[in-house]
Amino acid sequence: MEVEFQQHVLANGLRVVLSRHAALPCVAVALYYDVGSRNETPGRSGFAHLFEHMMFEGSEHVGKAEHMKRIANAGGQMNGSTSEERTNYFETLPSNQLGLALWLEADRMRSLQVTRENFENQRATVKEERRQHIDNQPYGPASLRVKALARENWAFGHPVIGDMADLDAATVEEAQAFFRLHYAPNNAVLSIAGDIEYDDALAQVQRYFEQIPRNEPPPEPDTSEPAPTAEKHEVLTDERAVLPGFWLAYHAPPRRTPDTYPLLLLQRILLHGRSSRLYRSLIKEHEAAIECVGFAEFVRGPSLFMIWAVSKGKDNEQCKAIIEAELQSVVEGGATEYELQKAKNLVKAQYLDRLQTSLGRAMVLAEFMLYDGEPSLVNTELERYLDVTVADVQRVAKDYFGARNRTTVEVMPGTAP
Amino acid sequence: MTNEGQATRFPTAPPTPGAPGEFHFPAFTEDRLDNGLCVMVCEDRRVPRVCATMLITTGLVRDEQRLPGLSGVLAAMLKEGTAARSADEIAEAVDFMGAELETAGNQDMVQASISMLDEYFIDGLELLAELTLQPAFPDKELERLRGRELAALAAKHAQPGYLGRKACYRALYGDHPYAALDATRESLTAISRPELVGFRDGHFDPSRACLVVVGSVTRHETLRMAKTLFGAWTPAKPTEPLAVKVPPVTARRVVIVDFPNAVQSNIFLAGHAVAYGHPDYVPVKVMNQVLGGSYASRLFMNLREEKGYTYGAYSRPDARVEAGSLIASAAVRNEVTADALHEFFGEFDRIRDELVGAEELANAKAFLTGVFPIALERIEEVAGHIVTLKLHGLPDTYWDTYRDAINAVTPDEARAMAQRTIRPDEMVIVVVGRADHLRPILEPYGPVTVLDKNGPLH
Repeated sequence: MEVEFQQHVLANGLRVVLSRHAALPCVAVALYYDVGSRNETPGRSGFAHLFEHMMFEGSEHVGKAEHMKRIANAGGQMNGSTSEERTNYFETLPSNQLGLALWLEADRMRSLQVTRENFENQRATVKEERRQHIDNQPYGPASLRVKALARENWAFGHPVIGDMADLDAATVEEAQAFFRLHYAPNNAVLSIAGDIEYDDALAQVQRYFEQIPRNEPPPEPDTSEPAPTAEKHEVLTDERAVLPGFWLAYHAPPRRTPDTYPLLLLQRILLHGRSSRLYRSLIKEHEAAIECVGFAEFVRGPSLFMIWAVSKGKDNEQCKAIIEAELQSVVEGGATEYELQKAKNLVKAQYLDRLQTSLGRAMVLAEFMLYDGEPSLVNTELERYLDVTVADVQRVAKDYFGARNRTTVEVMPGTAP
Repeated sequence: MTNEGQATRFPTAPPTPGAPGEFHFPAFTEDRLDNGLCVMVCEDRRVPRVCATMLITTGLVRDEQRLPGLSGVLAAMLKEGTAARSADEIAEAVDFMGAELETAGNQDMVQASISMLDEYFIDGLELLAELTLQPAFPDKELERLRGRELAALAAKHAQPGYLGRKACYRALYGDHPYAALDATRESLTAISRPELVGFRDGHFDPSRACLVVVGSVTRHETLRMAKTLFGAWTPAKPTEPLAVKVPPVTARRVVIVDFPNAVQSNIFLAGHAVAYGHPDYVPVKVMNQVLGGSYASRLFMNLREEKGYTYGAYSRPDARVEAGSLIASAAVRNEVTADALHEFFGEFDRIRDELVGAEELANAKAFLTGVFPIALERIEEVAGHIVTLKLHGLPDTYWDTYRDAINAVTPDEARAMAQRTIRPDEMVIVVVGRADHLRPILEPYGPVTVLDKNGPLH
């Protein structure tokens, strides 16, 4: 399956990717800004995400909350999200409404209204969001602590949602400065996929975006991480937790390095589905845990391979021992050809699943453009996974699953002394 | 602040959209095997994937009245072992295909669905046939499932939204099987292998089943496979059908689910509406879109955007095979509970008494007609829409004319639907929150019943 696309750069530096796929009369627009929590400065954590909220508060020609109303009334869907390394905004609409989405996105890129009133309102909303999703949830604080403890560098070590004290200290002037610094066409990728004609789509993009001036490029964040010298371990007490649980985080390489591909496949072998090694041993055979999940998030910079488990017993010792034994069995014996093929089938199925929708295609293309400068990877990247050998899998297990490379954050139920 | 050069003026309004692109619901075929099994195929080669769903319509099941949630447990147990494979072997096969296997059961049906790479289509369909024709319901796996489900149920009883919905259905449906949102502690404890076997023997009937396959396949190959795998499926044992009427709600009733530490009040306002197959269902959807179907509807704009009482306020019709309901809901700060109720009932009066303006009605229609094709980008969604046709006995042209039906709804019709489905004097009001705080607020609305959140909720 081949995804067709075109790429362009406007005079103001806006990178544009267009992909035609006219099976249904729908179009998806994904606008990615190259700003996430890694671009924040110490003392101002949470700014990128707070800003995502501000983008729905109105611009020169669009009133507060009008963005979502206009999209819904055109028969479309929309949202936005913030991660460590980007903020994205996206819409899927009937294809005759492409102009509306571009007009709305261009108007807020050129003229966002960062007023004191809107800023206060959204600061309060984000604090409620943090309470609801982190502070008031069992294991919420530990999910933030593990990244902070694992990383020496604040850029990737602090939480996307931000610290309460930092959110309280933020000022509207800083929000305005943040907008000027990061929300410029030369710091963004605009990706459009679906039922489009290339010339028409490009002409519409030019019409709305070309007049927005470029800015000085923001400074490149320093995300470097010193080589780990010792294992890290911490225990937190959590009054909302009923059972003990723990995070394991192993230092991992940046996205698209030779080790990335076998590590991702190994994540699937260990942790995906009811036939995975850890589900079988931890949950089914030993009935030692009620939950065990894993994440391999490869970013532009030092990354983490993470495992989270909730123990059935009084402490985490049995679960930690079982996981360690499973990881060591890969280090010593590798994975089987069968297991590797299973992981490849899964990665292929997930990859194709994502390309089913216009929005999925727009996002995949935007990400390859933004992170790698190369949207054509959409058609070649899967091969990198399919080329991995069992020797590669064993090699990365040896290189990354050592104790020195590990950070453990344990959660014990109860109130802090 | 403006990030703009002065050279050209930025358009002050968005462009007028051109004509909408042409759209037809994907074409599908329908064949019947000798044993009555319906086989529907939709060839869709956008990506090399296939989704196959087995729908078994059951009608209301007598045992389910005694054991609420029986069909859901049975559906979950389909994955836990067949005559040929253990639970672990099924999990292994699914993961090897890079597949997703999902099963579900409710008072109207049991279904199993598998999505996979097209190269594994035959293996996937074989597995689906095993699940359907030879489920083993091993005791050991039933015990494990029981343990997991009891733990999950305990966790759900800490969620105010779940408690509110559960209490709503209890109050609306009384003795009708639709009263059960899912299994109870008692039914989970009581369900044993003989009930599962009995359910299968009495209700898995090829003449009431439909195999829906969507993706990179051909009709010919699918039919050939279906004959091989499902041809020997024999009729179910005859069972006495269960005939129960949905009890009417004749006066307003108030139910408080006491949640002593709640920092919010979860409000649910529910009434009977229409079944999915009823000709009024599409007009009800359009009316509901104006009232509370999305973040652009009246309830959201009033209670969130204008008043700031809540993160979201919505209304939603839940249309089943035999009946349907319409439930409006919001989670609001404790101190604005009375004001929020006042706004809800104000919006109910408004949509019942006043004609919806032309622009507002057009917006609601544009939303419903616009998001419809967007959902169909996924083969799983195409399969789901075809399954809906069969479950509710709708004509094959239903989805192709769906947007016309939406566009045909008039302001008068929308008001008639509101008067029919939103009857403030015959509503069930359920609020999950602090009973001591809620009782004086809710007493003016009708007789109040207070329920324990850990009890059976009726």
